[in-house]
Amino acid sequence: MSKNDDPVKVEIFNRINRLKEKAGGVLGKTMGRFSPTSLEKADLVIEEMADLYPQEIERRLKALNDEWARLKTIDDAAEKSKSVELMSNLSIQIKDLAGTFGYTLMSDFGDSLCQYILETEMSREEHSVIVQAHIDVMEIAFKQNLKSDGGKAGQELKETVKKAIEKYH
Amino acid sequence: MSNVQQSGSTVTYSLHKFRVLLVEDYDFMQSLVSGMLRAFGVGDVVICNGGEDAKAALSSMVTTSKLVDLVITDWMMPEGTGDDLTRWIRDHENETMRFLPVLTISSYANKEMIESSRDSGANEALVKPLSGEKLARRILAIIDGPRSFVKSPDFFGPDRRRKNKNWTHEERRKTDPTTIEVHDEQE
Repeated sequence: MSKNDDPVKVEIFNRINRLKEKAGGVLGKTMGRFSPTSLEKADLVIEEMADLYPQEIERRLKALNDEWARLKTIDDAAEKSKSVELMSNLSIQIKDLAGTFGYTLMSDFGDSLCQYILETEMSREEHSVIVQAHIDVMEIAFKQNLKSDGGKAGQELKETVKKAIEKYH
Repeated sequence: MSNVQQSGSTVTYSLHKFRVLLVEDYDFMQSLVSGMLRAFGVGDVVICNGGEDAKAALSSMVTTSKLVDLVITDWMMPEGTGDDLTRWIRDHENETMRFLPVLTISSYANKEMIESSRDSGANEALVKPLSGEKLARRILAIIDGPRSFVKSPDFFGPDRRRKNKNWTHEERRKTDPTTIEVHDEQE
């Protein structure tokens, strides 16, 4: 029973599906689809933007490096917190960007860095070593244009980060 | 003349009348997702850089009665999450706004994100990386499979139970005395 035995009121709203009508569907009838051509066009958008990946990832890495350099000079707690948030945001952008275009290794590093920053909030000096390790391997992955999991070189870079975390976390 | 094509019993939707609000803080992803939406034929894509920007845009749209048909929002943004925006929409005093379909896009496929997005009142969630098919599937789910909205003391949004088990009122609530009021919208 609920705490005071008063009936819990639940309301259910059944709305007319205007979105389906707007898309040209008929209410109560079969499900619709997008034209195969439009799906191909959408994938083409991704393919075309893949050409921009190298310059975009370079831009994001530079922003990450710049913010990292700035963060190391900040003393004010509130300002530091903002900078840490920006770092985590840049990391997640790298994860998304790289993941979209099949650069799994870079995406994993972006993910790992974001998680690390969010977990630790960069509260101890030792955390800097691990952030720097992430940034270093991301730079290498970019310069060596390591796609998918990066093969053997990728595994070695991952091992570098793992060891840094084990040693300094 | 209708742009809708029918192939056998399947309707090929046309989204040229759709107006979609895309909320994404990263400019590159804005271009990517808006490009994909235009590839689907979406007539108008309005882009906002974050939750606060989106709230201002939606508030303005309400006053001019030109509300969007769908909100697609990134989950993790610097100024307010996609969940914050969804809750704001679901709590809005304007009825059309409160029922706006919301699709959340996230970098994470973890349970926390899925539950958080669902509990904020989002209709669907999509995990990056994106593909044409993935995005299309989620938009089609919103068009073809809208769930009833539920208002309870602590929630307002699409029914969080995906499967309709056709329980009776008696079976559904064995422990709590519950009154259920059903509102069927009329034409």
